Amino acid sequence: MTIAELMKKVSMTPMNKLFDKDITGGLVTDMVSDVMKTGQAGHLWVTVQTNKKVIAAANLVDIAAVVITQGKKVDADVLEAADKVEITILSTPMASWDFVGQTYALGLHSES
Amino acid sequence: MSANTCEHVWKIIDAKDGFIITEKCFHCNDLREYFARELTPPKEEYREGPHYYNFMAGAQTIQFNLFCEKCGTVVSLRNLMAIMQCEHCIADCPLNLISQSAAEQKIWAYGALCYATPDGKEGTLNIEQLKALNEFFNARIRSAGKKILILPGFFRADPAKCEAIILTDVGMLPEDEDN
Repeated sequence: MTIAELMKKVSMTPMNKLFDKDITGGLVTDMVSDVMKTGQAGHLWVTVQTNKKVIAAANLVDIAAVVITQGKKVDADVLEAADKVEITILSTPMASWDFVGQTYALGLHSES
Repeated sequence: MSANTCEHVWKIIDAKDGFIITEKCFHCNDLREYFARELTPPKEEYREGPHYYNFMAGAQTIQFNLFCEKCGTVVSLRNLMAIMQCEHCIADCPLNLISQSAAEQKIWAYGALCYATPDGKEGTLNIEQLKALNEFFNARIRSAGKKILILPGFFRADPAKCEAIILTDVGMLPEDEDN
């Protein structure tokens, strides 16, 4: 499933440019150390963190896209950094729990 | 298969959660950093020789080693403190120059920061560690044409002025309360 395909099924919108990539699974964490340890290329990273560290960590492990839950805002410099490394930041009004429940039901698991 | 000829397939082993503890001697301003595995960072003041160390900061992180699934080689990364990304704060900083130049080819440069050596000098990864870390991160990549380049932390022109993004779990919360 690609990011664009998932956007048709789950409520979320891109906050920067859409870099459509295949999604291979996902992880939910607010810690960059977790991403370095367990994140995989192609994963969707679900978090409430909006710091620039998120982009640096996501790029390091080649995360497909970052999903910011609870409708949290993201600073322009973070979005600019995401554009530079071609990682889409998606926003959803849902809580992480609900968002993951929906994507899990669509077949996206931690080791899809 | 010998480690010399193996096309390594690295995976993380011995991953340990903990804290990077930064302490300072209030007499001579000597700084020291080390990895602690306690559930809460140690904050007690203590004396060591002529120094009186006080807790300054704690950053949650992981410590890990790399293991090759094909040949069994283990590369210890116990001296690796954190991975950082350049924020281009010093124009003629070598890490900035390499980062900007490499980015044009979708090569994303990061620095490997190490704990100081026992004699207080800036620590660095050796070539085996650097090679393994680069192979580990690059083997994960699926995006076409993209590469990761991990460089030694000593490429920073001035660690005291460096404003790099350090990949530890501290300072993650935005200051904007409305966010």
